[in-house]
Amino acid sequence: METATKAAARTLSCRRLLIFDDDALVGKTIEFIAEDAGFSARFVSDQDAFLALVESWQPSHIVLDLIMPGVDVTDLIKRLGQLGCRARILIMSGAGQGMVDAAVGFTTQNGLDLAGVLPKPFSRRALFDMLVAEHERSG
Amino acid sequence: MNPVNERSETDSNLDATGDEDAFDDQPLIDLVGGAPERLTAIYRALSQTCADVLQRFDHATAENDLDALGKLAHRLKSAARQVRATRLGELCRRLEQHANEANGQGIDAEACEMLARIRIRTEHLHRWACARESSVQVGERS
Repeated sequence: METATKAAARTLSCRRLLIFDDDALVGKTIEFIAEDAGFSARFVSDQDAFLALVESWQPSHIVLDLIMPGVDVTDLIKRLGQLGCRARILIMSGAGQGMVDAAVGFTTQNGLDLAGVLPKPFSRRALFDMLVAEHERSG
Repeated sequence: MNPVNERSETDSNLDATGDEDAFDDQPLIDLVGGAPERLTAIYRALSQTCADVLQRFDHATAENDLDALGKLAHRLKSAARQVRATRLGELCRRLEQHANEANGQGIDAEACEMLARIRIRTEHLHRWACARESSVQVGERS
């Protein structure tokens, strides 16, 4: 039952989720669901702001959209690796499986910690459960 | 001849049941809950998405960049489906597919035609989102 799970999630230590998506609707939606799952969440739609927060806010988790006009996600993943980013990465995409598989491979090749893939469109249940599982994983 | 104002038989069929989508915000409420401050933020985000996509459509059109149009259609499709705007979502899916199959070609008449219809619906969705945001704010104050 989500209510009980939500209550349990709130008692867990606060985790920080940084969302990078070019779409405010998707970003704000994830932000609210993440808060319900016990995360402190921030959404950004700008690459410079994203990279600045990766360094200054030190998120425990990152949600990264694969398709964003004007953003080369391959370069971005490489940059996160160079920064020594320790966050668990959630890749979000409505793209085909081939592109998702390539991104998953590239993420791990760059030394990043892949938490999973969130297909779009996503349900509240799917995202909430994924985030609570991340909470429980980290104790 | 302006291809923007023309319609193919296929597109006419798409509009056979009416020219405008009826929007439904229940999927958004299911996602984020019904708290007024959340709904206000979500409607604002939706109106921002519409405004931003419309502006980027202009830029992509000026650049004759069909690939960019396809990516914008992909983004708008997601927002449209969040409010069960099925006609807008379907038009976006078709424009995205058309762009993916174009192999780097510029904007053709078929893309122009779809884009014109997407624009009208996106402007409609933008107005609706603004009205819903205002409605929630008025409800909060009263």
